[in-house]
Amino acid sequence: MSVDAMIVLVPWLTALFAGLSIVLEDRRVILGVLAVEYVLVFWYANIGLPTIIAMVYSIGGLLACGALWLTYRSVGDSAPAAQFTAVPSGRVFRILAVLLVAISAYGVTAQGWLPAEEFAGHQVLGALLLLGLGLLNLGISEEPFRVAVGLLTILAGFEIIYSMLEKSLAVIALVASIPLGIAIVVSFILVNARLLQGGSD
Amino acid sequence: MSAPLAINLFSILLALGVLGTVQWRKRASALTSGGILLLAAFVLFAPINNPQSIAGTAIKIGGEWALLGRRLVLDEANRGVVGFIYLMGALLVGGGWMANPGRYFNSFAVLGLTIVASSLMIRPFLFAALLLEMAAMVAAIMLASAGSGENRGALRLLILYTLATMVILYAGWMIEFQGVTSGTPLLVRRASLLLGFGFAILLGVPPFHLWMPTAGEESNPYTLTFVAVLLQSGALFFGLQFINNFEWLRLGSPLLAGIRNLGIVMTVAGGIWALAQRSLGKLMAYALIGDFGVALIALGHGTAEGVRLALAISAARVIGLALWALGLLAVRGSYSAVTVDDIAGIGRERPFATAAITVGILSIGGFPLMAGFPPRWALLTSLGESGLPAAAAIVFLSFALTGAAIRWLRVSFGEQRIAPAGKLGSIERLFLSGGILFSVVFGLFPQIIFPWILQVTSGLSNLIP
Repeated sequence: MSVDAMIVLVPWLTALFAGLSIVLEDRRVILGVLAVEYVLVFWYANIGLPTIIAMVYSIGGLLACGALWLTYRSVGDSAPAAQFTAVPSGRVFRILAVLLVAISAYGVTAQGWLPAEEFAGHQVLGALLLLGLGLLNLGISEEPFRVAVGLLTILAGFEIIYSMLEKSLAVIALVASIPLGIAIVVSFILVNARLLQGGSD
Repeated sequence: MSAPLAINLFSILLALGVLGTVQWRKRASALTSGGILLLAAFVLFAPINNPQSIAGTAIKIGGEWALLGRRLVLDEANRGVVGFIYLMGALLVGGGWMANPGRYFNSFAVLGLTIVASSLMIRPFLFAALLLEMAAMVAAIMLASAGSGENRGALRLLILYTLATMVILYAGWMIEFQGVTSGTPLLVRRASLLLGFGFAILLGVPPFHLWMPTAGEESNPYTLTFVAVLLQSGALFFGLQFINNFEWLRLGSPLLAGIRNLGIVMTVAGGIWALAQRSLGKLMAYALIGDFGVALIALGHGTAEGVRLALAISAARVIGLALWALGLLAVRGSYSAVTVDDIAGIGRERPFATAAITVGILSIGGFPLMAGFPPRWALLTSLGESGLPAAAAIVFLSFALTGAAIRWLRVSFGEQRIAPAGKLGSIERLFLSGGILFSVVFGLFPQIIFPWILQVTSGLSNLIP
């Protein structure tokens, strides 16, 4: 497969993983899928940044996945689920919603809303897919784990865009630390909720 | 030694140090509040960049701390506003022992205050958005740790601030690298739109206010007060820096008119929601939204006086909200009740708490003789004929909150439903009485805080020539 063909495929690979994080139920698999998203962020960031700095973006997300995984190992699946009951959130609905968001992201990319001199088309598409699918994840659930996954997906999309714009090491480090911060906050919320419920783990 | 480095180091040490005193609530609050007061005194009075000789040794406190290509700067332009944040924090943390807001409230409060203070010192100031996001993370943990286990408010806060941070960072890049000036109207429109969206989230403009009423029901009201005042003050000063630094925002863009209109919407919406509430926690959240709307109306006035009035309203808010939350906890702590009806008849058993809640509501509503009244009155007189809708909105909010206070008083002295348990201690009563006295003194003699507000706004040289 040629490099050009790979470049065209990567955004759709990104969409596939981000979509799986919405459609799937098993939290360990979702965290695995999220980790792959952050490996892809490294690939995107490496286009405009030196490898070692591009890795900073990826490491922040991977550490966040690790923190969430550790939390779920201790808390288990008993955390309170607070899905919107008014919004349909069955698997078929979620698959359709993922497809709709992916098509919308493709349409927005084709319109060229972001300045063309800073971004290549596949970067914009990859970023918009992650932003859109992350927002979708936030929209269909208020359960803390889903919120964390949605926010981390949105941040992954933002990091793809921001890696093309900001080259300052301090700012990159701060931006890359946000996913870890979110994972820590959500972990705290989950553990605290479990303690208040009288969990013994 | 650099002042920003010293502030950050001392804050971290203080946050860690008070962890050892969590089992003694009063001692922990006094220690933390004292430490924060020391920080405020250092910020306001330390001789920055002015060598001093102490016992024959020359000591110079620098005003700058460079970190990986970015700088934290404390100078004459921002020491007033940084000092304001710390003084406000000292006042709120000092009353925290009465509210029982969780074991780690003091430590997280110090961290949150220092992160927001750092956001006011960072250069280029555009990156304050990242620090405000971190402050929101600390705030989410504070809300969750003082909550009932339902954490939708904390999660919504986290979501909204993360989205706002991304939008403002992108707008900041546009401004810095795409050359936004009054001569590029398309870019001005785009940047204004993005900034407007980002700040609407940070300031809790409806519909981005959703985290507040939810947190008002789920969390300790005192923690909500601290978090809301801290984050919204940080966002307000961040927004003022934008307007102060970019001429195209002050002159060419419709931003100021937009701020005023958003303020009107917030004020009216806050008033309507407050009228419909029976939950005292939610009522507090909606009153806060309305009060912030009044501050935005003042800011949108576009004059130096408007900016000063917005800050005076922010200062009065701290007193009113703290009093309201402490009174509510003095009532709710005993009865675990949430709605007004649940605590009917409490007025005879808890007169100090009932009076504190009433004065808090009236102060936020801008009732005469209360701390919130003088800046509102000054704003109403300065709006003129063109500001009639804004004036009507402010008066409507005052009537709505006065109505809420009257309803609360009527119910609190009505038929008792639950037998009272326990009593307020003498120190609690003293604290509540002191708060009420504070509110009335500031209402009668607003000139006490005016010189301070002049110092806080002294750094906004373009906005206030």
